[in-house]
Amino acid sequence: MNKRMRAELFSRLSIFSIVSFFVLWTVLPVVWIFIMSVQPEINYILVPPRLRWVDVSPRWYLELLAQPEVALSLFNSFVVSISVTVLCLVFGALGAYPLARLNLPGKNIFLSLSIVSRMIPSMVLIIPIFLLLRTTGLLDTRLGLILVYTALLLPFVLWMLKNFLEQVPRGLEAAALMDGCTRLGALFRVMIPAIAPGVVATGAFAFIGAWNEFLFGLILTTSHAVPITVKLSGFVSSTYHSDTSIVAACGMLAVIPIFALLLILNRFIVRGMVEGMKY
Amino acid sequence: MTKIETHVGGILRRIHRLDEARFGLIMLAPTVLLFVVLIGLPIIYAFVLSIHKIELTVSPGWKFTGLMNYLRVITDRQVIASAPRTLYFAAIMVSFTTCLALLLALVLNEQFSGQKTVRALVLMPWAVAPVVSGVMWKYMFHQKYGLINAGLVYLGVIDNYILWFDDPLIALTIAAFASIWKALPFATIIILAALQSVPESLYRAAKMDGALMWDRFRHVTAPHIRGIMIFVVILQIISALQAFDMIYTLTRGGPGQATVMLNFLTWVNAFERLSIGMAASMAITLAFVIMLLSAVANNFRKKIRD
Repeated sequence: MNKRMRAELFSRLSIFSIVSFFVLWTVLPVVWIFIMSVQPEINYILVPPRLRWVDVSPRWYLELLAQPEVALSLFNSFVVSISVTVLCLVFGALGAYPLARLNLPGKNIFLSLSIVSRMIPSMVLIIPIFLLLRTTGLLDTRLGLILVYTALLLPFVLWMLKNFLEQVPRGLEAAALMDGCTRLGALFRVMIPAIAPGVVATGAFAFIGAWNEFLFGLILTTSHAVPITVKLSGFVSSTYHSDTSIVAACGMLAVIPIFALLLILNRFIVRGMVEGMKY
Repeated sequence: MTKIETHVGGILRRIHRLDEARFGLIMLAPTVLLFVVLIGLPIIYAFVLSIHKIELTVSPGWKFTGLMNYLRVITDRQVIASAPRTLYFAAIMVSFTTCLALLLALVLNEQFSGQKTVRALVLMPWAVAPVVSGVMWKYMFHQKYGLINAGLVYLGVIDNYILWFDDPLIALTIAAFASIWKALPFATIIILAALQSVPESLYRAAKMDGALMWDRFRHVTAPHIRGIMIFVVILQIISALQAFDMIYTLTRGGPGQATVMLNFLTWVNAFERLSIGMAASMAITLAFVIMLLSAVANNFRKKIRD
């Protein structure tokens, strides 16, 4: 074996081992909680665990979904996340267009303020927003969560859409206006379709952000509007739950929709991650 | 056309005829309204809270104390106790995330079969909610049904299951690694994007000159990604300082107070001790630290772009 071949083999091997390490490190926690969610507790509490194919069962998922509170929290998470995504995209598109294209007084101040608001830790806002929602009677309502999440995610969405809109050639917009489109028409019929991949990525970000949010959900809801993340934390900290498999299944339920989204939109999301950082 | 349609049409035409500035302001109005009500006012209100002594467990009353709460932030026993934990956590999280992300990005930048699948796969933790990642790592290291314990026994390293979460330092380290798991994909993608923007011709020139892999990395790659690496480091510091969700399900601050870090302590002050004024001043102090760090990070980003 000559020197070059050996070097080649060495680099192949090192890439293979590094990649295997990272794949295992990424996948193991997910795989383990999944295994726990389809096996009876007795199988993995043994030393060493005794996992058996015959014991695999969706029982714990069915038991979970049969609990009205869990079903409600999943429903809440879906309704809130979808509404937040729609609101973010509509308000975001409306707002991003003038920021990308028009001369507005105070535009730069607004842009800097929206960057600053992206950095404000949730802990600063949580007590005042709790009081605000209590005063307006929006505590423990889905509407309250939707409004709060939209406000929190909008600065980010605005910047992403603005970055994408700036890449649309000006000629395209001018042509649409010449053809008799109104400015709003040009925005929604020509410019937004031109940046469709970017819009998809932005929407996915908003959905994931809303779905995964925890702190505000924890403080702003008590029973009616509890999202799945908060429900899960309740399962984990309650000391007298009978079955760990149920907690594991609840953890899986909280990530399955997100994994599905990631699987379908992977390409868009990776590009969005890079574009979204530019400000 | 129905009456409503003509009405809407009329409004749209009127919007279309507005001059640029007014049109833009109308478009921005919903966003501005949401910002003012749900971000602007709360910030001001948080500041007002922070200059009052509010102990809801004692009395519902407010007492103006000026900046006393901020003084308490730097002298409070709990804060002083949680500061080294936060630093330890942040140090581990930042150093490991940055190094591992660089390694992973360099590998993903190479050509190998299955590269696309691997890229998609390692992205997974980014999309997992921090609360869920807390649960996952809790079950990885659990004393009774942890995969780590089972694996170590299987390999013959240990005979009995170890109570990982009973040791303060180990619990904090596990928390750091759970955060690394979650933070790694994003850092990797950013570094990978920077790597891909290094002109191919530079590598070819370096190869022609007979530069070895390490030399190529040092003289071609490193100067190109230095700015983005510093940016990644600061981003990690910011997220380490804000760790909360994951801690909540992983250890809930335990054992004892061992994993109560600054942001978690803010939550404890606000919602368990009901020391609202103190909590608000802690949160605002953190906000200033984060804004300072972000300003520095932004500078480095701008430098790379230009």
